[in-house]
Amino acid sequence: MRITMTGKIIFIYFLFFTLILNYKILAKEDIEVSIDFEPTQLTLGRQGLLTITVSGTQNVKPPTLPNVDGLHIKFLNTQSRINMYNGNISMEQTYSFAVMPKKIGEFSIPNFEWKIDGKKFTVESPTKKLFVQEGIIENDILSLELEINLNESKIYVGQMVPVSIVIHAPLHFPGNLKSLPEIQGNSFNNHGYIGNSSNKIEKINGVEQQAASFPTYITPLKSGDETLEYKVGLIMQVPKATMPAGSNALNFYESIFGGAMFNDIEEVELKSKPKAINVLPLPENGRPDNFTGAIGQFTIESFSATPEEVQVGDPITVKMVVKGSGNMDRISSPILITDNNWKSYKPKSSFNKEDLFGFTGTKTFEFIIIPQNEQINQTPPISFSFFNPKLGRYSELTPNSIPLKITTAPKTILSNELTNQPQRDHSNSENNINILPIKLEIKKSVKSLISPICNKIFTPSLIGISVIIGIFLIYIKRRNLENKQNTAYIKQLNIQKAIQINLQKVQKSYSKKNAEGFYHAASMIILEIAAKKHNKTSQTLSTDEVIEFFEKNNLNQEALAFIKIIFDTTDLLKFSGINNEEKLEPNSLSKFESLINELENHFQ
Amino acid sequence: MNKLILILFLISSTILHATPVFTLANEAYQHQDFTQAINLYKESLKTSQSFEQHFNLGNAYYENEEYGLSILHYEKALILEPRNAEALENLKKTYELLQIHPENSSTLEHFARLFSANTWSWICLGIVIIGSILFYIQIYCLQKNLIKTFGWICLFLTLPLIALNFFYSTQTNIGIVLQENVPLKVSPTNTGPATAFLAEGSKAKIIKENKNIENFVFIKSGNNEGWINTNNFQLIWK
Repeated sequence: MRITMTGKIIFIYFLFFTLILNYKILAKEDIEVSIDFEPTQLTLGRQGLLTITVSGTQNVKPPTLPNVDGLHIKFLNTQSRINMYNGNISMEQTYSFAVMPKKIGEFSIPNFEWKIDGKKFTVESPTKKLFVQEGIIENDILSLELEINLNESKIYVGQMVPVSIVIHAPLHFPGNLKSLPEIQGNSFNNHGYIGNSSNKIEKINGVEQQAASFPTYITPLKSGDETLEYKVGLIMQVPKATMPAGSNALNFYESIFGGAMFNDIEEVELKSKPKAINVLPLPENGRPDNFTGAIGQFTIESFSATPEEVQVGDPITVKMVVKGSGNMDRISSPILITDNNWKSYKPKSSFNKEDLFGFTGTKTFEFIIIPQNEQINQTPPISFSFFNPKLGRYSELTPNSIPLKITTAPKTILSNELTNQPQRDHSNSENNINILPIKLEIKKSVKSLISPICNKIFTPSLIGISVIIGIFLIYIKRRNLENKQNTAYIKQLNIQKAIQINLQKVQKSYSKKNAEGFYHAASMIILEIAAKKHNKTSQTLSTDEVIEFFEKNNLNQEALAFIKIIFDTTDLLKFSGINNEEKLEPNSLSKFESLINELENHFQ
Repeated sequence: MNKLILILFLISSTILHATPVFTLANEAYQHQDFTQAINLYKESLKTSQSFEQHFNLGNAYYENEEYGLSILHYEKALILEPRNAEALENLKKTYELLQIHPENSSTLEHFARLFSANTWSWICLGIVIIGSILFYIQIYCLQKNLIKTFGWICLFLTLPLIALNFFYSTQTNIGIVLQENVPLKVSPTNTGPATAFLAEGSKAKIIKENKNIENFVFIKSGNNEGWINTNNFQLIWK
């Protein structure tokens, strides 16, 4: 068998690659052993995981661990892994053991020896001491804390105050939140929580802990010395009391679920330390009459009136946009001070919040006012008052009135309900304005006032239809032109015409008892049909050729005989010079017509 | 031929049916019983419509001091005979009485008023057909440049016809305010605040209708927009 050059190259390549690979694998590496155990604290019924990892070799038998009184150690599995990094290949094997305490106490797994590739290795204990306790780890619970972070030193009734609720918990706390922090009592209103909490790791007394923060806002509902308190529900996994602590073997389910199915769910309620807060009432002194209940910091972003030029009775929209931070949801509309010169409607307000809690944003107030006379020259006064908790006093914002141009409306524009102007008076004009008299006869009537032209698509439809017809006509014209240039088509057309003309002659001659005319025309028709089928002209065909053509095309004998009779009789009448009416039988025409039909059908 | 006789019969029968009621209405009008005249004119309009019926009904409403309805029927009469001097005169007088200054007509409106909408429909049809025929003839005939030119002229005439078509299609949304000081509401409710008040006889255009909202349509009159109760508003082309 001959090996091609390509085959050789592939073979050399694979050989080279295999050598390189095996060289890397087979190359002697340093054998390293590492051991790990988690956790350092266990409760009865919980199990720990001991892992021993060997790198730099393969196919090593699992180590035999020393017996420890009070602990049950069971081999679980072996995992092998080949790592390739920067072209270097290393192998690693991990042996997992389940360690399950049988009793409470302090334990330690002693150092042990392990024979790997004929060499003895001393494997050091992964943990100096293993603490086994009863039930839940008390430290877990003890280290849980619910904290209230409130930066404001003094707060007022109705003020919206930012607050953060923080849950401090051990780093590997075996639990989850059951519910979000809830406010206790009815002195404060909590504005809820938006989104997820922000989690971070913190170090308290050198111990790492996790802290979950829940930012929110509170509003005090009453003044006086109040306490702010929160609680939160937690769900923890605790080992079942019925755990077979003294059992000698871990069963199948344990090996799969790691003992999780032997855990119970326990609910824990965590309460914050009560925080004493002195809630101040809003001061009576200096409170404006038009106080809207706004507490915070606000500014007037814009104040406008549209349109600024109107007639008496036309509505004007006055818009005031207030921007700031505070209890935006509780601000009622400011009052536009209108008198008899104005008709005003209940204002509308809308809020565009800039944060998720609606603490900051813009609130728009819209007033519809209608001027009642043309003496008005500016918008009615308006002011927005609020309580500033930082300053501890009320503030009032008054935008400048907007100049308006009010003109007199036509007499009938205003409603009588709105004005006390007199009703329209036609009595004087009625005598002066005489209308032209009625018509006495109907000249022309219609069914409906609506005409086709009132339909939006009337004219475009007409044009569209005419264009379609035009295109159709152009198409027909082009087709005819093409046909005229087609000689075969023209020949067929001429033959068809000749047949039609002779057919008329046959009928005419028969009715006039003109035998010569009848047979001559009949002969011509047969010749034309043969020419049509033979793709020749009738002038170039002899009667013998025609009969031969029909014979070749398997025309039935009866028809052939009749064709011969026609040809013979034509010659006879033509050359004898007589007009023998006897040659015309009563059924000659019908017989001939049947022949024509048969010929047409035969050659179809 | 038979069809022609049938059409003539139908036309004559509708006119004949309308005529006695129309005559009675005229008699009532002449006896200054305007309410009766209005009822009879309205009865006669159930079978067919004519310039004379709408004109007379406009007069009867005028005499009955229902000026909004009077304007409405003069406008209807002018649909059928757009250049009728008497209808235009009576309409002008009614507007004067109501102290309303109607908006000036646009050039297109002036042009449209040369003929009635019905006549324009026929003209439109005729021009398109003649134009098309001439255009197609030149396809079949050689050296018929004159025919071709006329054909193109006719086809170009279709452009103003399309504009006219558009104008008339927009006219069907125009109506008349029938009562005095009709409120234009912010919302389609009787209790909602009014943005403006429209004078009787004012022209307004329906901007939108909502099938789910009964008795109210959103209209625009001059610079004012709002919802109007349909009891106070009626379309001219209805």
